[in-house]
Amino acid sequence: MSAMLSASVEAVLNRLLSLDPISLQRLQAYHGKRIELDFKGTGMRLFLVPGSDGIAVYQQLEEAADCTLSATPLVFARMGMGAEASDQLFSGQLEIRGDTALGHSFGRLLAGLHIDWEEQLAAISGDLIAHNIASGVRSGLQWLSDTHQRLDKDLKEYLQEEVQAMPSDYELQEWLQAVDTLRDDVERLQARVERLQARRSAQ
Amino acid sequence: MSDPESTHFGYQKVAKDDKQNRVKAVFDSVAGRYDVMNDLMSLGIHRLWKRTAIEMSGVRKGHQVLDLAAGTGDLSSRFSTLVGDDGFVLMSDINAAMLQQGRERMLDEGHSGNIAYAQINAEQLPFAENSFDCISIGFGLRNVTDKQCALNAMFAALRPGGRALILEFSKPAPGPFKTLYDTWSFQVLPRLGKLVASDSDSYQYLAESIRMHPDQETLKGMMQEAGFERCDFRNLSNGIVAIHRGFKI
Repeated sequence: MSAMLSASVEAVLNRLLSLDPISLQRLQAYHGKRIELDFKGTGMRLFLVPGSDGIAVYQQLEEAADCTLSATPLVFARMGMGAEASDQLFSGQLEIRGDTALGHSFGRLLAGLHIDWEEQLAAISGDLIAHNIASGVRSGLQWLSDTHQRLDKDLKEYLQEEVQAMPSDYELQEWLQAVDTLRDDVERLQARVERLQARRSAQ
Repeated sequence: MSDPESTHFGYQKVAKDDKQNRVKAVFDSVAGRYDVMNDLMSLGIHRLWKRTAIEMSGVRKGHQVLDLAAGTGDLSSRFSTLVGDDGFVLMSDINAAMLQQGRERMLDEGHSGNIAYAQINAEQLPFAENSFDCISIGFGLRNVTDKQCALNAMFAALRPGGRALILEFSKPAPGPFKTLYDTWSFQVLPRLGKLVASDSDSYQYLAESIRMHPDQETLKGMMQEAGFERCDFRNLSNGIVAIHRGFKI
């Protein structure tokens, strides 16, 4: 069963890589390196070994990995969808052990796979149909993105301005600053009280 | 008492000198469609068995690996990636047609620099003692005329600390699964062979040779007799296939 899992991951990774010849070429730089993916919370590990014809994936290798990327499956999925590894790293969600430079650049390579779906589709349906379908998908995605942004903005405005259930950014910042000032004032007062008490007990 | 000058070729008894030629004829016949037939025979599961064998091989960067009966190079291809530029894989087979197929595949996949090819009889390895970190033989040992002799030669060619890995069909546990497996091997497989490779006899031999191969415990004993230590085996797919592993300490 475990062999089937690593075989499936390997097949998917190599299929994706074959659709992006430039990334496949870049992969040569990692030939023979062992990169371990540790899926936190699942107890599952995968070892990726890039070779001349793609990436080999194993569930266990006796040799220690050159580099280990440790994160929850969700964080890996986010990286796979293009999120920068460094963002995840600095937010503490991704841990890199071993050769960190290797971990960074390999993560960037996988996250940056650029697949020309229109070209792949054209091989099956011909250029004209592929272009029309790709244009349709692109405008559909654009519409989704615009709608998402608009909905976000409208909801924010409704909650802040119409029903006044939430503060505006400006009010929030003002309040946070006031909290900071108050905290500093209290700390200063506390220091002063302590100093007075110390002087009094010394007399 | 069996005749020391005869051996098995499937269910037939043949002279020892004759077996090698007959096995050669079988593999000359199936070489061109070996991979397709393997997929059909095992329903693609042979890829998972080989993957498990690789994980058990413990091959590291810089290792020297000898892959016996390499066929079309499923194991060699993965070893070549694992040993990296500092390591070395010797892909070998007794059959020139199979080796040629494997060599072409390696070149097509871009494996070069750390891999070499040699036509070798597993019973008479032409290497100095203590030459390899790992010696593997995948689905090949049952075709070897004198298996004990091959195991002795593998032991001699291994370095201390090295390991031998034998991936081979074995004896499945009794039960309905075994009945199904027997039906598949003797009824379906030769017909598939005829259909795909126009050669039912060769596939009849493959099925018979699997039944004549020593079972898990016997092969483990043979490895121990050759000098291997810490021998163990792992059954895959209910014992249809077993991976034997032994170390030279």
